[in-house]
Amino acid sequence: MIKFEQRFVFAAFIAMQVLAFMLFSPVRTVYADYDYINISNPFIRKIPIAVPEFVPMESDVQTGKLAVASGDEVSKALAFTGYFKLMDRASFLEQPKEKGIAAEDINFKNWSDIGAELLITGGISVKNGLLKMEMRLFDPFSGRLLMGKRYTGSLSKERDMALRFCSEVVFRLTGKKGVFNSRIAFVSAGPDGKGIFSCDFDGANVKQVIPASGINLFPAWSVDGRSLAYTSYKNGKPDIFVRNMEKQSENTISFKGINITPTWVPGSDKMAATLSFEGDEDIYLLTASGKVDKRLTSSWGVDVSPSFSPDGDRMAFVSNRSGSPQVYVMDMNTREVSRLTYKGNYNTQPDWSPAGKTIAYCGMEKGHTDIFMAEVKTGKISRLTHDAGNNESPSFSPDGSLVVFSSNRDGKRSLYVMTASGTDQRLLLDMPGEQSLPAWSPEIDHFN
Amino acid sequence: MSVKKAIKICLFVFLFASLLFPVSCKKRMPESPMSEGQQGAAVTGAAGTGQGVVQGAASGIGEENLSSGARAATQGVSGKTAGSQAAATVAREAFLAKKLYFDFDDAALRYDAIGVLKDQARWLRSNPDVSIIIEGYCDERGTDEYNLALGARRAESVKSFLAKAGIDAGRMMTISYGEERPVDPGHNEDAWAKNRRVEFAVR
Repeated sequence: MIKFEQRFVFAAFIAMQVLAFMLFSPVRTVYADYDYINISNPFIRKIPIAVPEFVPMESDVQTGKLAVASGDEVSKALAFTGYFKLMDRASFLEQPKEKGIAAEDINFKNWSDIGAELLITGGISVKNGLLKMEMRLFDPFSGRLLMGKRYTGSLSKERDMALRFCSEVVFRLTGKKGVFNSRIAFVSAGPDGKGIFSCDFDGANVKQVIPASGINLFPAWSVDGRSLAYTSYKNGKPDIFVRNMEKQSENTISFKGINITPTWVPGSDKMAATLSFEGDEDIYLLTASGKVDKRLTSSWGVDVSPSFSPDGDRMAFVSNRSGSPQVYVMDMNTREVSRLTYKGNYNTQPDWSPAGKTIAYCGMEKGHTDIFMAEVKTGKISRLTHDAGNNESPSFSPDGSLVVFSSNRDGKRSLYVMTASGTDQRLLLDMPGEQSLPAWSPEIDHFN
Repeated sequence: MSVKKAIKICLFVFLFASLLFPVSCKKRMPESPMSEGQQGAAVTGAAGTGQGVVQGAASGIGEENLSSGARAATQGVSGKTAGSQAAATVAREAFLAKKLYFDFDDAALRYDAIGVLKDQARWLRSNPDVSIIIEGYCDERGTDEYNLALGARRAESVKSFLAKAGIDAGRMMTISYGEERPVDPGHNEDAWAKNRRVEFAVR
């Protein structure tokens, strides 16, 4: 963690550099007059993008290695989004390593001829422990520079700079910042029990939040990404703990009975959670300090797993009021409740998409669980996982483009990621034990 | 496994002994002055060592192999009291060993649970000082959040039956473990049926 002042200086410094770079760059950034990515279904056709090896500005070994690593970092991060098809470097007709990385060095026809619709070049220099990275995004068909950035900072910031640039690329093409500044919290089970962990959007930088002993479940991020709530049996029964990740301080929500499935209400510091102190498992609204504000559900039976629409006006939740667990939606103003899922006898774990139009959930069919997506307005359902073990706990990335979930398709329960259309399903991280209950954070501004 | 086996042997010997002694335990137990602490010690011994086998029931003398903590409880008491004390221990073990099973995604008490619960209520009535924890569990199918709530519901079903049977609700606490702590780690109907359960513990 960098201290605030350092961060501020770093940010200001970067801002200055970027500004200078933009002013003096030979081709002015011109906004695209057509959409590179179809926002309504961006994963139907992946954009072929060429990311040739980054160029070391000095000829020493260290800079050479770092240039290769940064180029690969950018390639991997962009491929992770599901928007791009990274082109095979063996097909490239020219190498920026030989000719240069700026617009005047590039013969764009060499790139458009091989079908590259986007081109990224990068250069790296290291002087006195100070790393400079400059990267450019080109449209080879028009020969235009779409965006260029130069970042300066300590050597340890190499990944942050690469990801920050990827974030700009995705923002330039989709209008959203993407997933690069987010983390995923999850449960990992070891021989002594279950703990809470977190990792970067791509499974890198795994950190332990709560050690894997006893029972710890249901991690949930606060709206600002600074706090993580979870359920733990550390005091002998399921209570909710709210941990401030910066101060490392913890508040406890411990009513008689169970205290589970906490979630924050968008745009507020209030939480909703399932409590049973009145003898029935109902969803309650809680104040920031963990006091009961009001009871939200009152039907007999189980009401769990609240998930709010992005405007906070509606709440999806699971109830067995009809005899089997189904997803319902409550209007927070009128308290009117409508049922969302009708197909099947077991639909749980709703997660409201950041765009607000769909709700991902876990449904059971013939004894197997799979991830489904329901349109909130119409109730229309699409299925995202098929014939691959049990798939549970969907959680949207903050930009809504990806979904993390748990699956035992390869034997043990692990975390997987797919696009919100269900394509590109892959393992997120390979770690010992079983991983489950992932929760994708909001954007956490850790670049600055 | 050895604890289970010991419990089975205890039950068998208890049944056998009860044939020989027509006087019911229920009647006799309040007569035997036994403090909460002593009871606890006896149980610790039986469960802890797994060797708390009652021997020589036919001679009217109960003899137990207890761990050190339970020594004081049985030493120097008359054969008759020791026998009823052993019976009390066995009854308590029997209470703690009882499990109630449930159908999938269901917290309703099954027909076969009612008889068991009547026995549990009987024991609770004869042991008015004992407070219990009713633990609800689920099988691995379905999802963690709902199962944790369902386990709570199962425990509440049992609590409310016992409360209707006259047991003070203040003596009963419920807890749910959801999918955690299965008794059978298998992934088949046999295992699932065993894992959808309510267990009893003494507070």
